[in-house]
Amino acid sequence: MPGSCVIEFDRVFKQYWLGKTQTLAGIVSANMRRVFCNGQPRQSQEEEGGASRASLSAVRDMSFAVGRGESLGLIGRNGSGKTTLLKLINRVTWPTSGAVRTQGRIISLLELGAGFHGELSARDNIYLSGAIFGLTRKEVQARFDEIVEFAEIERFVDTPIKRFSSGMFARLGFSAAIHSDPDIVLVDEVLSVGDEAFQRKALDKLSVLVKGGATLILVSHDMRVIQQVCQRAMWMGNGTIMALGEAGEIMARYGEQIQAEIHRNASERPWASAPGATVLSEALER
Amino acid sequence: MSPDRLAMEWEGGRDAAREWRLKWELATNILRREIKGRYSQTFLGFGWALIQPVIMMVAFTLVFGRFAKVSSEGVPYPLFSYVGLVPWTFLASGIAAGTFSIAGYRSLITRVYFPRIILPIAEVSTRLLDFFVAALLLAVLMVVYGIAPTLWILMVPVLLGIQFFLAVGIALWTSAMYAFYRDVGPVVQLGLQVWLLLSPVAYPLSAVPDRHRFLYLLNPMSGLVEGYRSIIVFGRAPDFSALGIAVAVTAVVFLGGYMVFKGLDRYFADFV
Repeated sequence: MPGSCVIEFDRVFKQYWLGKTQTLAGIVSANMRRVFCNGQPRQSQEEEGGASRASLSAVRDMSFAVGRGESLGLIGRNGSGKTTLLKLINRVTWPTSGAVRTQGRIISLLELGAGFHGELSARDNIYLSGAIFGLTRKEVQARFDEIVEFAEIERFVDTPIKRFSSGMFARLGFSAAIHSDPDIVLVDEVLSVGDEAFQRKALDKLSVLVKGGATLILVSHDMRVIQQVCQRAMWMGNGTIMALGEAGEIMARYGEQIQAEIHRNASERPWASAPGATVLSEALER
Repeated sequence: MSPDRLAMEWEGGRDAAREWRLKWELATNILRREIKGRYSQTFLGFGWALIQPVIMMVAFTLVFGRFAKVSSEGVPYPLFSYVGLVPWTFLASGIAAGTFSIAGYRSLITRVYFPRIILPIAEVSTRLLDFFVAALLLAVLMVVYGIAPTLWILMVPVLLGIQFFLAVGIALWTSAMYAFYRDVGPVVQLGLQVWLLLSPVAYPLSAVPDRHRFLYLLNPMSGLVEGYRSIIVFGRAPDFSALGIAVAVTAVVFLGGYMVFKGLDRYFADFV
């Protein structure tokens, strides 16, 4: 992998099995049917042994690279494979074929507080999640005060987090993740963390990280956010790359496509031009 | 190292010593989390570590010691059975807890990357604590029955080490398979019950007919339980050939489990 690349996808495919796990009862009943119903299975051939063979290709033949310090916006309809892409980068899931190469510590801001345990205090949880992100105890210690201060939970450091409000929980999760010196930051649908002031602070922190050389992958349906934050953007559809390039240009093309779809829907079904659609198209024109 | 292997390390495998340190620290963190979680909001707390072996000891003493008059080779039957029940309970509860470790951490596995193998190891390790608590009662029993230990008792850590690898090795198999098929749960429960009867916990190894001896010793718990009994209660050398067989079988189980686990761990998040 070239030195400046921190994420590289090489002909990556990811398939998910949609079927249930094969069961003994399923196999027996399938075979009984074959024997007693003149060899005609009741259901389609796909359903052999009670397990559907149907699978879904969430990511298909994707190749791209992201460099150090770059920020890439991801846009695309629901089900276009954005989340799967993030999971592949995050090494939660493995490609069915192809190779995903990454360098450095990766944090995902879509699963805040994933490693937290309700019975433990905020203090213990900060150490626990630090260990999960790949920090030594000493490294967590050095950042401890900063994490607590950023999360604005100074008074509750020794409270079991099952007593935390959802806002406190999310702020702590964000703070613990962001202070782990990540090389790659994955963000899904910017930060519904805390109030507006905290979101402002969180975005500032993110931009400091990126200026310091971290790589940002940002998934958003808000095209303005992507244009503000990212240099490059990738438009995903059906698990493949529809377009990849300079953020403004990609957003313009995506916006055109979406508008065309809205207009088509509106002309086919007049009731579809409800206030929501109008608001959206106005937003797109801005 | 191939790029794919590289990707399974925390920081791209830049620094192997650091990777090991991180794995160790994560394991101890999960251990702490498990122990705190397990005994929180219980009235008996660590008392639970004693209940299982003690109840079994009472039942065994009644059934095998009094009714069936099984030989305990000259030591009081309660002590004879308890010294086997303490390591047995560690193994059985370690395997049971380890089996559910991957499925139990589903929310973490489907969200964050970390070396998955830490989970079954940490789960088995939590049961070491119970082992030590139960061993305290063993010390009390020895005082009560007036049995003084010899220097052979210093071998306990060796036997415990073998047993730890055995428990982790089996938990690697079962936890990986349990992630895909929940049938593994009842199979493990049943297997442990049968295994207890096939190990010299309630009866001495000498009760096993000679012609079945070798087959019997292929069960690593035969050499281990008999070994604990020799070095703690009888104060003599363990049967080293029986222990040798136990070590060999443990090594095979562990390496097999490691390979199965490593082959399957990339699919855990998609199936568990």
